[in-house]
Amino acid sequence: MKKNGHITAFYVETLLLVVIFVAIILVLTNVLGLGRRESGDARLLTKAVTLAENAAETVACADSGEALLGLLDENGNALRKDAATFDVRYGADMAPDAKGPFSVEVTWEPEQGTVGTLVSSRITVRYGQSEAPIYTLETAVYLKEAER
Amino acid sequence: MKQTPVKVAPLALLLTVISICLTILAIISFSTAGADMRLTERYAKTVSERYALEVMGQQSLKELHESLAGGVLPEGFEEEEGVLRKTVELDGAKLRIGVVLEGGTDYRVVEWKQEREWTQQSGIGGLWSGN
Repeated sequence: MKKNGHITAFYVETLLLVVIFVAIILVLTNVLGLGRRESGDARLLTKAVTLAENAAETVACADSGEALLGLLDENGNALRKDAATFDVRYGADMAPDAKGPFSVEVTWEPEQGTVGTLVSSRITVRYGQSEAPIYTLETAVYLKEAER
Repeated sequence: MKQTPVKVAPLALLLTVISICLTILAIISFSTAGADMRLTERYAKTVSERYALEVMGQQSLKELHESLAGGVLPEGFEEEEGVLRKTVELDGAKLRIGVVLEGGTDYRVVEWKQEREWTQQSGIGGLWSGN
């Protein structure tokens, strides 16, 4: 009788230990998963900022919408969405890729002044199928002459 | 034959040590990922500010060009040794613009420099200074 009681106590304690251990492992797995997700988001944002910066520098070099499209296009990864908007695609490794998951939308909005043209540009970076932008950057370039 | 009883205590101790190690690992991993994210957000904010300053600078060039075309010196620009200078500020960041006039109504940019004042931290979390 006494021996049976000991065996039961042993099993109950072992079961309790295993349950607590499994619970701890589950919580820690969640914490590690959150960390991994956060790290992935940080990596994505860093890439998005770099792509937006590159696009902004390209805008600074352009003197017309056509010239901007020509400068943005590498291996057919850029296309004109409408008169003032271009969509440029990059792969996950940020290399030009017409079917890549990174979408960099660049606008070219000239505002004719009395002498030259101030062109404003809004750069929006999206990833995958999501419509929500990861990063948005605004820049401008002043052209001494009227835009060609 | 005498049987050796199986005891739960050593097993419990082992699992406790494993749990503590895994918890420390998870906390370090999570805090590192959080720090990465904070640093990235700061980088993104800095880039946004840098280009906001660029927009202000380009706007200044437009005003300068239009003023020169109208035959007047633009507001905000000061002449220093033949160079018209203007400083644009935004959230502690500065853009120094320098232009040289060419032919009355035209100009050439000779300085376009962004900078931010840096103040040295007096202490870095109680870190030993080495003396």
